[in-house]
Amino acid sequence: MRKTATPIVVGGGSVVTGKRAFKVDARALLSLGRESIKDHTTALVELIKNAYDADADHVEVDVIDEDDLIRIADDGEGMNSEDINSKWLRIGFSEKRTRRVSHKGRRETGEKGIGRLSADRLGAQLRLQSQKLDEPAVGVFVNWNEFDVEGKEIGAVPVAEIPSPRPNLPAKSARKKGTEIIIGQLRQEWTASDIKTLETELSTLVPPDVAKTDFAIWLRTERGGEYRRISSSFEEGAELEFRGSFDSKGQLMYEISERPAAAGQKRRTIKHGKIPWAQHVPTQSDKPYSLGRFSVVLSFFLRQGVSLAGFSLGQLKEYLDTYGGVRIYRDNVRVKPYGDPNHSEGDWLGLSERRVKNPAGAGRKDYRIAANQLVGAVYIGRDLNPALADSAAREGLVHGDAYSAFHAAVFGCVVLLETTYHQRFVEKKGPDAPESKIDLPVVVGEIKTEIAEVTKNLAKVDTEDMRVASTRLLTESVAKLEAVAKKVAIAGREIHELANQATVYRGLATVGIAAAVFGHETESALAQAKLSTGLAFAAIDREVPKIPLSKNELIKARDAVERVQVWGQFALARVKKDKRRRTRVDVSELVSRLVEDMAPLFEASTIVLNRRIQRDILIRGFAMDFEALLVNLLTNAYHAAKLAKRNRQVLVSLNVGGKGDSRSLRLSVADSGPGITREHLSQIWTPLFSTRVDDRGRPSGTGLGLTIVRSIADDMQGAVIALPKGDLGGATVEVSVPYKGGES
Amino acid sequence: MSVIAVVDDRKNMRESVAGLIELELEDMNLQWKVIADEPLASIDAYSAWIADNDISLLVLDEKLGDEIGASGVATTYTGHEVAAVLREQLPELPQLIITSVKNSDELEGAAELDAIVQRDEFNKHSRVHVERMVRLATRFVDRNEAELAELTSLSQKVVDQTANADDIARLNAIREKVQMTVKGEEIVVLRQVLTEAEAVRDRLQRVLELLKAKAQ
Repeated sequence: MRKTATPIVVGGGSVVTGKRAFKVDARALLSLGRESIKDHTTALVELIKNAYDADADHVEVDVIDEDDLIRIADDGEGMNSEDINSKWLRIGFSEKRTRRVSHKGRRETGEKGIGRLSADRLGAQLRLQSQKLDEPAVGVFVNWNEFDVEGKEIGAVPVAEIPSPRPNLPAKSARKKGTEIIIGQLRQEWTASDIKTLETELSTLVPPDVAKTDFAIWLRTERGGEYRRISSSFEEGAELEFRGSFDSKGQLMYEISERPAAAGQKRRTIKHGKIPWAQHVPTQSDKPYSLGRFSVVLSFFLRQGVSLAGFSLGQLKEYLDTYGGVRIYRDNVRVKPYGDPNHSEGDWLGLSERRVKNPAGAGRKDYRIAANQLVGAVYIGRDLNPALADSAAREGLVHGDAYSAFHAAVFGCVVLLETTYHQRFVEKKGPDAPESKIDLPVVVGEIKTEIAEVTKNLAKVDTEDMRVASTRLLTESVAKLEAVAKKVAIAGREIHELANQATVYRGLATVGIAAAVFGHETESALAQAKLSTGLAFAAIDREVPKIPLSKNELIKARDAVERVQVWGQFALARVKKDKRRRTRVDVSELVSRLVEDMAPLFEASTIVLNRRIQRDILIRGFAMDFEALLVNLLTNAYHAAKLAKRNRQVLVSLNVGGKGDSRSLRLSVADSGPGITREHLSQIWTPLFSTRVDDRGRPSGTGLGLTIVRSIADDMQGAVIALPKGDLGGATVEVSVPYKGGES
Repeated sequence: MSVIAVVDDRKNMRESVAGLIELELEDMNLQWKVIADEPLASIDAYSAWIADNDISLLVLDEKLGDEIGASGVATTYTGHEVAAVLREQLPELPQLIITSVKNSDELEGAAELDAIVQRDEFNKHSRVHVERMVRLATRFVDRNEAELAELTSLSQKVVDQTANADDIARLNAIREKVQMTVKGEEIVVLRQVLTEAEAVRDRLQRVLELLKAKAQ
């Protein structure tokens, strides 16, 4: 609720300015620093962030446990005596709050003015020496433990001056300015694991691009040892690299480059293009684009079977385990937890889950990149993308419409990269050999016929030339062949049974998929029913009953209940036993009835469901399979048409085309939705591929609907095609099945 | 008379919600008007619509684009987005969302809203929620009426030429605010009177200058 600034009235309405004022206890400093910072790694990172904000190019970090000291030296702007007094020693002061961008154009990271207090979390003593260009150096010494006294005022604790300060600045820098902080009497031991955590934190503090060119962090953990640079030197080993940027209208311009065959050569661009927003993210096509400009860089690595110059596969794997994931940078600073390997929301694009569900190899169209094969960065800006706001309740961005659109946009980039890798893989190695397809019942039938023929011939031989042939041998052969024939017959029945089971599973899965889509509609019908019955009752249960109102509400409640009933009956009807038998199916009748059953569900979302059905098309098969075909196509069309702002339409067509033996039954469903992106066209049939996202931008489609459609069509020796832009402006999917005419 | 408006894309739903509010108001002996309408074509059209219909409390659904209304175009904005726009234009107008949507970060964090009520909760405890609506709307109307009275008296001062600089600043502040919320006859007439008065004053000024020039 919004609060209005109503002043509090005191006594007679006037306030007397007195001599009272707040005083600050020295201990307050400890709760701001030592006690408010999660761990010592975070505390150290805070201090290094200050160096970044001070426009340093180099920072030297020494964590020497044996000497009990930590040193952070930068070549930033430095401070003079006045800065120390008016800024550094002033708790809560931060220029960053008003300035926001450093002199060097860096978007500053901290603004609370307490980052320097994190030194207290690291150790009891602090020596700070700083040098501004062409000005005398300055130095102070703080013993934090002196603040740990009850009842002492903060100003009463002295901060000692270091006589003739001389900061030791980073050796790699030629600059004559900067700040050196030395922390002594460390509060905690630094283990190898702590150092590792620190390195990970530091290496992701700034984006790789920046780390290479602008801001270098040098770390040393042994006395007198060498400084090692924290960097991302593995980037060139990326198999494919995607670079894309969304403009102010959401149009994506992208380029995908490939790792050169030999070291030292340049990367080669293998694909580039422009994709309008509505095509890249069809689920968002009904909303105006409001995200603003942002860019995406994704580097895809192979974890095996690759030889890279300069480093081993083991090192590469370690690098990927450290850096794997897609991170978000706002004004070049990490937005946590996106990309954090150990955080529940780290894999925010759900890449691991997709990969686990479908571990297919790169030769398959449904190939999925694993989270630990991808190092990515998404660059947004506070001013460029105001819709992507920070959540006040937790780490990360607010999960709303803008986040959904953003998530879907980045996810689309990953899919583009996957598709490209699959295509390159196939070009180089050829596709996985297609499995030979045979109609098992037909083959079994053929074997049976052959066996019967041989048996008959043998029997003939038996009668004609009994003496010539060996009676025993022939009888045994006949017996053996009969046994084989029996086994084949059993196998044939089993195959039919399996086909039946597959039909049932597909039918059940279809009902499940449809339930997910129509669930919302059912929920809202139930809400209406509850509200209307309540109101109808209230309208009667009063001194002067309101009969017309009550009647009207009861009619509304009845209609709503009927809608729920339609859905319930529809779901139950799909899995009836008689539909699981292979019989002669009147497809015309089946399609007409199904369209009638589903029409109310469509009407509730103002979608007009039309049909153009040729009568008396009969075909042998499972009724459940035909229903599953149509329900899946209709479920997809429903979802797509709902994305249209106006003129929501779906058209179901059924007819027989072609002549003679090449006649085929054609069932198609067209919608007026946003259509299918060409980039997605080859992927839509593969299991678990879905572009559908929920309100929070998470993939919500099962990605099974069209896979089921294709599997049924395959079983019927049929074919499926999808048109990205069909008759109604959106997608059209057509299934065709060989038709022999009134099959009995 | 105070007006409560219910906006929902589903006709049956908005009419039932409005019906239930009406019934509760009647039981509270309040002769208030409740109007139910489909979402407007543009999110920017709400403030004028609220002024034109003298609306003192707005009840919104969150998902407004499921059903296409009479305009033939589905709404692409949500209830909380309407609330955010109106909070800028009409900061004091009470706004509520009644919804079946659960677990939405945007809704939970929407400071624009005076309340978010789950549909089931509203059905069960409609009296409590309507009483709350009445309190919010009454406070809003009272505040507006007080400002309207002040506007009339300050305008009178201006006409009588007894207004000082503070009075004029206050008048302008109220006019600025009321202009958007109340488009009653008073304001139109007052504005005309003031414009005419200013024109007369300018003419008198010119006559005075002419006279001075001649006297010299």
